[in-house]
Amino acid sequence: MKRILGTAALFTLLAAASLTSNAHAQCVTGTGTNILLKWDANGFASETPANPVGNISPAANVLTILASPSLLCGPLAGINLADPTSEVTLVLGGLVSQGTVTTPFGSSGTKWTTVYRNGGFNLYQHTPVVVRGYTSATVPAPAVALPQYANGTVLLGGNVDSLVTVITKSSFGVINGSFKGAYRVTGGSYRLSFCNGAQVPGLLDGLWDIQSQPAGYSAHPNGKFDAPDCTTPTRQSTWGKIKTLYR
Amino acid sequence: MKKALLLLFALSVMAATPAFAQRDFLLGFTGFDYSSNGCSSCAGGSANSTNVSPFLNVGDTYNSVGFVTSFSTLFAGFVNNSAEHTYFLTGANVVTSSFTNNVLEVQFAPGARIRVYEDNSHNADYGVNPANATSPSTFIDGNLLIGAAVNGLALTYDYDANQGGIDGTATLDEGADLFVVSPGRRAGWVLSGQAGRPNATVPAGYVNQLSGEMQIPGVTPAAHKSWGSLKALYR
Repeated sequence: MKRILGTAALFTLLAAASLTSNAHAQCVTGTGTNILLKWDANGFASETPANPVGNISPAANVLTILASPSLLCGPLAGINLADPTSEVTLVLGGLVSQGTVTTPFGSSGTKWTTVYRNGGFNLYQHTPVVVRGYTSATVPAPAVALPQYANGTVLLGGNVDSLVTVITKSSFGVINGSFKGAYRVTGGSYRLSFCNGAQVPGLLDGLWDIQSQPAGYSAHPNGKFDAPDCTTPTRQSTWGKIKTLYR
Repeated sequence: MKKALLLLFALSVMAATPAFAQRDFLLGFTGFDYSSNGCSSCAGGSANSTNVSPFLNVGDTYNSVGFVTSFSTLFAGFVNNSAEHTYFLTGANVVTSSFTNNVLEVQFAPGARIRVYEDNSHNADYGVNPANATSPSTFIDGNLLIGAAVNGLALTYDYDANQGGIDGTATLDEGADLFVVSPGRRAGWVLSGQAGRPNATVPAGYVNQLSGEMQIPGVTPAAHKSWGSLKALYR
């Protein structure tokens, strides 16, 4: 029996480990701006007081996204996402819907665009491992899941000034969705590792899948945060002009 | 006692198994796309044109290289977590390309292919202006873990919102790890990804950054009903 249980435990650990690939190379794009974090299957979005119907998010609805990263890069790369004793979670919340605008798309398609504003995000680390293995079939309802994700030490926190979801039905009938937004790091234990604490905007974007959602959820986002570009803006000048600054 | 424990274990496994799978996840990825064999004289732009003109004219081939960022638990024990996992999507030939109302809509011929590789060299390098000395070559070295034919692939891109994506259906049919997916489950995987630009992460010569996954969205949720209530629907 011990052997059976041991084998089961081993497979569980292997399964947990397999959810993450070795990072590093995935993080580097060669442009100087690289990926900061990414999540895949473990991403769930919902709105209160009620989820969108027919791709329409009523104005003043509040969007929340729960996720468990599959990749951490840059200053976060040292965190072990397969640690059997702790897990990292991401919560984007407080995103207030400005209402959905429906417009034609391409030749004969339709586009639903929703802008969300004034949100925030937190990247948490906590024990024990609870949500890492959630799938669309096992994630509990949003009200139960939220405190499980929004829990522990805040590694990184900040503002999500805007997030735009675009759902399209193409002229071929293909339904697709994506989201794009901007975030700024304002808190968390890793805050100073990003642009020395300066609040430089970074890009967050990804896929916005609205088909076959678990009960209580409106979309499955699969996305990423790009690292903020900390490069100090420069402009060419002359030695004479520089000297005049000090006269 | 042993039987009781085994029964308890079996029950706990059953409890963890969903009544119906709402979504089956295979893998997640991030990378960049580009076109090749472009028709530079075609209307709408030339191959590898980026932010200004739409790319992908009839006759072009769509490609994408990048990294696999996570695998399904199906692969537990069958991927080397310390290795590099890369993908190459290629052979997607443009059959229709429309640019209307600042929206690009492209359909590809059947028979595109996505392949996932594993190697220990950690050498994958996008470089610039693909195809180049390192791309796709450093993304297709190593062992072929799994591959699929991709049909019904389409790309849309909204130049006003600067958002778009790809969507197609994949049938798994090759690779050392093909066996982890049962034969009855190898068709129907949806390959989808968000395509983003302008974006500081996009190396020169690539067009979009892709962030996506392969999954089966799931079966239509069903509800238990009595025969009487079903008959009542038709009265």
